[in-house]
This record gives sequence, C-alpha cells and structure tokens, in this order.
Amino acid sequence: MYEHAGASGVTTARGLTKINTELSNVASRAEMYEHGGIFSPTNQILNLDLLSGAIDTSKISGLIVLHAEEVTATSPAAFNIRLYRETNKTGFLKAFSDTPEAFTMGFAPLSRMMKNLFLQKASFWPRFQVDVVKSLEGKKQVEVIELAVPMSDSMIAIQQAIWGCVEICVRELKSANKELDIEDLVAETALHKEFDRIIQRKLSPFWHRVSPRSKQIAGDLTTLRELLL
Amino acid sequence: MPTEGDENTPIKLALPLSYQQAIFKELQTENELVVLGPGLGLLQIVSNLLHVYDATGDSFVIVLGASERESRWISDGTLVF
Repeated sequence: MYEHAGASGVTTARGLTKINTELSNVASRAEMYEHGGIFSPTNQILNLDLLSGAIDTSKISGLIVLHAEEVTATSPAAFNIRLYRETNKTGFLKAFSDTPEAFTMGFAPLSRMMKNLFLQKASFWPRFQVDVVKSLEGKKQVEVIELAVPMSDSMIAIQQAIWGCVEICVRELKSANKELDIEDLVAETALHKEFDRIIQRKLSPFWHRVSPRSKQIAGDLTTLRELLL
Repeated sequence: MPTEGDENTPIKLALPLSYQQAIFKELQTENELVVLGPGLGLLQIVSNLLHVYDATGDSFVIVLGASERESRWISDGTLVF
C-alpha cells in the first residue's frame, strides 16, 4: 500500500512515499501528511484529500508536476493545482516536461498550458541549446552517418494507392461538408502533417451535424495515415 | 556516491552535466515550467531537487503525475546519494 524508500545518507531524509491505492483511508493518510515528507499520490487520491481537508494546504511546502504536457484545463491534475494555488500562495510550484512536441498542438498551446499550471515562467532546454551541446559533446565531434533506404517499386505503388485513397476521402469530405476549409490539404501534406487530427479538429465544432458517412471517412483517414507511416 | 553522515553532511548532488546544474540552480529560486528535450535527464534533475527538499527534513512536497516507473526511479534516486 505504501512504499517507503528508506532514508538516504542524510539522516533527516525520508525518501519518497508512494500512495497509489485507495485502500488506505483518509484518516491514516491525513496522519502521514501531518509528518511531512515527499509524497507521490495519484491525482484522484490527492483530489479527495484536498477536498476533504485531509491535507492542510498551508503546510505544503511545494508541488512538483511531472508530465506537465498532460495537464489540460479539465484534467484532475489541473484541478489539484488550482486547489493548491488558491489556498497556498507561498509554496513553490514547479512543472516539468520532456515532451516538447506536445507544446506545438492547438491554439496558443504554451500560454494555455501556463494558465493551467498557474505559472508565469517557462524555461526551455532543447538539445541544441549552447550549454546542452557543450555538455554532451566530448572532445571529438560526433560523426553522424545517415542512411536512407530507397523504396522498392511495390512500396511506391502501395504508397501511391494509399495517397489516392486519401485524396478521394478528402474530396468527399469537402463536398459533403461545406464548412470544411481544407485547401491546404493535398496529398503531399498528408505525409508530414497530422492531417487526420487537423480534419477532426475542423469538424469538431459541428460534429453533431456531420453525417455518419463523413464520420466514417474521418475515421478512415486516421487508418490510412497509420498505413502511410 | 554514498555519503555516511549526520545532519551536517552537505547535500551531495548527482548532476554531472553543466546544463543540469544550471537548471537546478534556476529551480532554486524560480517557480517555472521546465521543458527539456527528451533524453536529457529530466528525472535526474527532479530527483536531485527532491533530495534537497527531503534532506532539509521539514518539508512537505507533493509530486504529481509520476508514473509507477518514474516514482520508483525517483525513490531510488533519492536513495543513491
């Protein structure tokens, strides 16, 4: 139920306490929180404990959020952060992510994320950052050899057939849904863009009016894209 | 890097790379979102940070969103200094 990672060399250190089942009751958890330490509860349990008052939020010294990219406006994690921040303005709050791609999707993804996380500052450390490059590079320059295997004739034939299917699907979607504005969607962009997601996002405002056939096609596009890659 | 010691033992960090130390330093003062390229040792930084809070003794820190694997990693990380 609880896993104590024992003390480290420093005697005051207690290690991380994992709380990942609801078998324990609120009272026993409240007692654990009382003693302090580092806890890693699931979002659901933390939710429960914050709402039931098992945690005195003013006693929390800080919150660390891993996988920050998964914190969406309606996620339980965002709710937890809000509960914490509303009652505790002095504790620290630090968020981490190593999935930078997630911050490129949708409209103003970073600012939305920052709002969800109640943070103002973001710090980026990509692989090409000077400091990072310097740390990772040894004395010798790394030599990268890139190999590209050409496609065989039948592979090209398969790819073209799938492209054809994609084109027909897109054309049919366009004619069935006048609202759909996807001029930039030609077969070439299909290779490098997540066009199925783009189409689904564009359809979503009037998804309830989309005919079952169009929905089917939108789903088929996802399958076709999977086949392409 | 095992350290046998009492409360006066300086907290040892296990961040060998200079950018990791820079991020760590930044995190001492700032509340911020850190976005790191994959494979650059994010968990190492987190577990070092947690170790510091852990070693000070009187802190109450909650870690959100850690997967089973990651929390095991972090607990091992806080142990291994």
